[in-house]
Amino acid sequence: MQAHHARALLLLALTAGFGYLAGRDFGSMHRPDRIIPGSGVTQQTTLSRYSPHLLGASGETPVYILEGKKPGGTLAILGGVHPNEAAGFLSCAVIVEHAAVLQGRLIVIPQASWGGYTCTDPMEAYPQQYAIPLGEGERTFRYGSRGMNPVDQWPDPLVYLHYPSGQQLSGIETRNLNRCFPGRPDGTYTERVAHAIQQMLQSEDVDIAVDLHEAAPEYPVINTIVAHERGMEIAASAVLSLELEDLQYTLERSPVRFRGLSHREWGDATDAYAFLMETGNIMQGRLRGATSPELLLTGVDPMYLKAARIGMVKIPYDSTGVPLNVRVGRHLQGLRALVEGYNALHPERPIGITQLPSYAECVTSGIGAFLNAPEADPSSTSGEDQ
Amino acid sequence: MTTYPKIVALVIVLAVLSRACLLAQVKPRFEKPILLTSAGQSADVTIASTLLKKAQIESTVKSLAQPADLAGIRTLVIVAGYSSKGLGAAGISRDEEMARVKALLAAAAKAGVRVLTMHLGGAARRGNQSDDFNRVAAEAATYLLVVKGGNEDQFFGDIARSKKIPIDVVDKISSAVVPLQAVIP
Amino acid sequence: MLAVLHWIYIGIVALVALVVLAEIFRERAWYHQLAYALILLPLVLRVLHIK
Repeated sequence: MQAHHARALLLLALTAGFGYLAGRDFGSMHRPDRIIPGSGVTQQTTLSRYSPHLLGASGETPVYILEGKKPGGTLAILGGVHPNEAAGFLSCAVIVEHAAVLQGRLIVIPQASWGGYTCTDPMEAYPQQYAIPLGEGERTFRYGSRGMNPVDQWPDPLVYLHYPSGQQLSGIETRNLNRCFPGRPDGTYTERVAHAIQQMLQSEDVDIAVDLHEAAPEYPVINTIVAHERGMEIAASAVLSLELEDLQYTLERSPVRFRGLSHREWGDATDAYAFLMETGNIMQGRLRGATSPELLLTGVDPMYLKAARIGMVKIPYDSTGVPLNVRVGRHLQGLRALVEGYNALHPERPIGITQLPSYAECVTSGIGAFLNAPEADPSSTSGEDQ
Repeated sequence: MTTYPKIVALVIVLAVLSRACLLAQVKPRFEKPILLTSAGQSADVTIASTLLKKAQIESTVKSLAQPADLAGIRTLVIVAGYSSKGLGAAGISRDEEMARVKALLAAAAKAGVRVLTMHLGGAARRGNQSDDFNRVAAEAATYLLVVKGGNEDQFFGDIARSKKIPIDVVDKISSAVVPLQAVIP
Repeated sequence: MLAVLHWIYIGIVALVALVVLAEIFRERAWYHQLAYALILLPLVLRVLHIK
């Protein structure tokens, strides 16, 4: 055998070895996160219930329903439309694991972009997992990608044409769930997930729908409530109410001509008041230094301290950072304020939620205090969450 | 006390009081009907509408008010603050919005309509993009009502001083109800 | 149609992977062989729908 052939075989063996290790690592992200429903959850289903085109696909994300004894309005809450925005998902997880409903219904989808949790964004150095400390032990969750996994939807077009408006965006946006609403049943994988969510909102007669997000601290639309025009009065009332809790929010109108976003398409095609809330996530920032799970949890970054000093940061930022507890607390308090605003406008169809942690409780106790310990999961057979 | 020291004491008290009166802001009174609009298309105009309702003050809200909308109006309430999303929602460009605001304020001045300028967005509605609109709306005001967070650098305070415009600075948006009720009885 | 396009692209990647594999054996310079081996890995992971 010639030397270069032997070398080729050796390199192939090494490639196979590294490939196996990489494959195992990438494959580990396909293991679903464990959400341990609390006693408030009355029903659990999957998104394919609303669109059979998702049956068997990666889009079969869990949907949790919390129904009160008294009839009332319906609130739908989505987290994980962008899986790299952890506060949205965790706010939903806290609701599913801790809250209960006295009147009306909550429909919670903690990980709307199910496929996006199976990978991370290239060249961002994002960790695959992060851990939330509990009283004893911790719970680990995946930190996903902004868009769906290209393994599920590939190739990306050069230009993404939104259905049905024909709006043109960069091709990569074809895998961004928050550019694909209202979706279509026979479209791309992401469009089918969007369609199923749109079907859920319509078939469940949702009165108020909230999409939870995060953004880079230099992004101008941050610490904000974006409202479809029909929901502006509720959102304005919520902003004033939150201000009384010393939580500053700006209010933004959903742009009529920017199609594909949840607040635009949900509000246009359904009777629901549609909102989107943003908090600040240093992990998404372009100015950040080293990226790590700790940065996600604390939001403390020396580069952002410098940026804040020269006025480049759009949220209050100091050496205490923007901890995940604060961001989840803001989302939960924001939800509470939106529901209060809705209830004031619709006293005939109120929504009554109990055991929803306040902002102060999240900051003081940490969100781990409102997540269930792994022993509480009757389906748990392993000790992997320690 | 003899008469002469009493007269001196009275003159001193009167002098101090009159100086205090001169220095104190003379707050204008605004009449109805009221037209509420935006300068920069931020959604703060909706928050202002909610505030006016809380203050039990009736108003007509037109985010894109034109000079013709001033017919029959006695007070123009203008909420300053720029939002690119707001401009997108309204379907107009930044230049078109600035032209509209300037035309509206010129028409208000010509028609003798008093202008109440509010800035509610705090630091988020300040900066290069917003301050053009903030300045135009503030300089045309008969009275300024601003939230403290948007005036940390005395942007509005300096305009108020140089143009001799009465100004109230409140800690929170919700605190604006009381000064509003004071100037719009 | 979308599924057809997807599998056409997977087919193209598989073809390119085979070409790269052939080049690893044909190439005599070790640093070129190493480069081809590095290129081959993500192509294989994509064909197998792992990454």
